[in-house]
Amino acid sequence: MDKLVAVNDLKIGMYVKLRSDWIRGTDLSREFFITDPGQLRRIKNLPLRYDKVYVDIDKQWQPSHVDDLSHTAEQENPQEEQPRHTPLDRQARQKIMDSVKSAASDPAMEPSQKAAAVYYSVKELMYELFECPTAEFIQDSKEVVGSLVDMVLDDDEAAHALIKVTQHDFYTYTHSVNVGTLSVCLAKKLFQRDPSHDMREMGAGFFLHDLGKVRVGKEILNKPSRLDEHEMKRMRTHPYQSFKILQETSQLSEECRIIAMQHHERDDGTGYPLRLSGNQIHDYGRICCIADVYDALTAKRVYKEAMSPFQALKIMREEMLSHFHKEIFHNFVLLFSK
Amino acid sequence: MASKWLCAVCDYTYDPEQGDPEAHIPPGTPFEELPEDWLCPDCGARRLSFDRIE
Repeated sequence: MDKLVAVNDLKIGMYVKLRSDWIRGTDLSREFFITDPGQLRRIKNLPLRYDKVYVDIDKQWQPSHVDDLSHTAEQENPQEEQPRHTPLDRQARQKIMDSVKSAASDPAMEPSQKAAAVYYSVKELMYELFECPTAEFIQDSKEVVGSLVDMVLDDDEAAHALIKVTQHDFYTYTHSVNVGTLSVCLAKKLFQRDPSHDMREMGAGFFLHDLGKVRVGKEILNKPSRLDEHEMKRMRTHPYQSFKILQETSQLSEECRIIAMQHHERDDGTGYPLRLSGNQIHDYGRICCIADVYDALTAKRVYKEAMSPFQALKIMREEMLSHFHKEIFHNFVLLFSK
Repeated sequence: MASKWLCAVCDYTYDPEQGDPEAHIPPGTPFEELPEDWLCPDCGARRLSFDRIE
């Protein structure tokens, strides 16, 4: 679990998570265990807002963990803790995939525990994917999302716990996992077990809807303040770029690539890029659009506070209802009613 | 000289001198002669989302 901690309260052994725009130009990694006082000092010198940083309080520091290959750079050169991200190798990814699969299908595990285990592992793999969006990584993500989809379909309690476990930070991959999770739950509610819908394929489409953001300039993506009009327009390239990545890497059916392409279209025709309206928008796109708006509203940004789920749903109903398919939105609200 | 056109969705500029190599549109193709189903290479918007700029 991530917790905001004042920099003066940071201690050696804590697992700290920093924003990429804070660490630009420094030798600090985005996430790491604090292992020496020099790191503490350097974190305090960062251009932080409110002098607080996120710490994952569940992560326990295990010094010199031998089989963790991604730490080799740190050991060889202690001055530059993981200066660049080293992608996980096939074996490490397989390990994550296996652990998700076994957790998702473990009947003995508590639903909330199961949901948390699956959520964090999927998140870990999605982080890798956004660092390195190759066909191979997309394939692995599909597999891991598949296990999550199976769990949502088979275990109502775990599905509900999954909605509660969603967390927020500033990263696209976290947002993707949240939107993916909510969309899969909504799709389950809408389609039940209708065999004409391939839920695993669709699920992958939901999780990968924002992949095209890797093609939006880093200076825009990581900008710490509100985007200006031109930057906002450049951000609008991401649905089509997601669609193109999935096409170029021959991943997903045409129907599920549509999710990426249509997740910013709106029912009243005011969306983008094709300004589609009403029935021109695929149900899968409509689902993703609703989950996407909800997650954006409930997320905290540097320039805005997070809304509670209730506030977000209220605003969506009172001020944005024309953007959504009414019946699908109604079903989305019901997801939170238990 | 043929005009440049700006995408109202994403600010991509179609420059006829460049064409759109990705979509096999050769350099020298005026905006008006782009195929009906041509899409903005950056955001996927249709031709009707473009405005003439010069």
